[in-house]
Amino acid sequence: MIEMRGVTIRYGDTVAVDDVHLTLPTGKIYGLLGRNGSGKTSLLSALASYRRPNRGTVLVDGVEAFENPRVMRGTVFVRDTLDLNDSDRVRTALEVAGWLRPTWDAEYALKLLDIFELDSRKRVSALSRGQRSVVGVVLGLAARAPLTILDESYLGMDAVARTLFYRELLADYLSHPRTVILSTHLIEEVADLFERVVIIDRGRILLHDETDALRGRGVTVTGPADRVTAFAAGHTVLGEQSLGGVRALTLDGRLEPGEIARGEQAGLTFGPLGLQDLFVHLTSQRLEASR
Amino acid sequence: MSVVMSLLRLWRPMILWFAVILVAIEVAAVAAISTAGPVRFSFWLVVAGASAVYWPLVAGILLVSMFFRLFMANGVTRHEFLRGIALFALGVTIVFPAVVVVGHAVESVVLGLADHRAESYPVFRFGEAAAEYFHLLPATAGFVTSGILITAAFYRFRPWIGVLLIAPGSVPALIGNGLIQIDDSGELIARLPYAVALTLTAVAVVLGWAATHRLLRDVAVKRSAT
Repeated sequence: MIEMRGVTIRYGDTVAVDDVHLTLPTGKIYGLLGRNGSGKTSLLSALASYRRPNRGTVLVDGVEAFENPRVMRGTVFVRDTLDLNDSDRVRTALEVAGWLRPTWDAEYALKLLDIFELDSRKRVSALSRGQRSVVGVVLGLAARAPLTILDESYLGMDAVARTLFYRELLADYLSHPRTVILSTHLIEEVADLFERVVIIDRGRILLHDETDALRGRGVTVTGPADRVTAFAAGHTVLGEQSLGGVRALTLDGRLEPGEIARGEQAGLTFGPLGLQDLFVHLTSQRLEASR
Repeated sequence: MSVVMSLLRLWRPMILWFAVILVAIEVAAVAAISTAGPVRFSFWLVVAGASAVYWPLVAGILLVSMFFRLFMANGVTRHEFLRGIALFALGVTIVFPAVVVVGHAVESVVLGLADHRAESYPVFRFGEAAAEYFHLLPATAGFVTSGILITAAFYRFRPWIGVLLIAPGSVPALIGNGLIQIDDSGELIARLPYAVALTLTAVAVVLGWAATHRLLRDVAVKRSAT
């Protein structure tokens, strides 16, 4: 069990994380969602003991995580900016991880490099943004750490590489279960991986729930624009998309079976709530106010 | 693997290259100087003696700026890292002066065999080897400590605060090199009674390490090297 008790992180007058209480059962894949500057990285830094909270504590299996050798050895935190020296070769970075991490799987690291077609002889300074992301992902996955935190570390990858990453992450998670926390802006793309979702906004936890439960909180209605608009009357709309004469609305709350049957008779289709729509709705009061 | 063993493996290529370059320069320079007649000073004491001071300073700077983030990212705690760099710095402090003394002995013997030592050349004497070693060691300890301390201050604070802290951070180096040293002609210098000078250097080094511990024991792991 990973617990954050009253964690507050300040940078001068700015409060990045504000009195966060969060309990994360282990052995699950978490999605940490938040807008830019919402406090995601600060929260993860505290979880990984990269930063001591100004107030509060982080506990892993009941013991304080900060400067705890066992906990730190069992945590890997990969940031979008790699914590490597530019002059080092990729091979050296992997070797160092092998020397220091008891759970490091060198064979798997080489397999990942092969999958992502990255030459381990390259220096970090010579890597493209996407290749740097690949190195981060390899360091994160091959560490096989009980707590694996990837902070937007795969955003530089192209679509093919990201797909390979999602596939590898899921396969490795199933064969070596552990706690994985993914922070991302590519919500819909990665949403199917999440078992639980944590949404943070302005340093506070807005929501923490099972992904399936969140998807059940609403429904997406798609069909001809006029019929969708008529159907949605009286419902709270969380999000909308239009393409030509087709409109998709995300509605808050569950629909009665009779309502769904009527809608289907009218040529509408129904789907689960999109996580991104829920996220945008929950974190965009300013956006709504500006409309 | 421990932090200090990992550091040794990471630095091994750099140390080997440094040694090869140093020896190559020594051989080439002494050979060139010898063509003009007997050698009047110890080129090794000039070059390696300076290296025993400035290389530990650079090593101290790199230990924090290059390796702190790297080791933290691989699950090492701050205290484990501090212990590791302390052991590494201790190794540097012990080995570098020894390399200078051994090199001086080899140079002196070779030039003696070739009859290329001038009157003013500081002939190496085995009875003085320990004194030579202990006149080099305080400066090496002071410079490696200052390198680590100054970089730790830059890492912890904003750059302008780091600049202000260069002065107090330099104290171990200034005391170590200012009170006890060996000059180019091989003369052993202690500006205070040796025991007093050594004690003052030891105090400065210990205080430097205490300050380093205070700076790094709970510092946030930044995205940049400093």
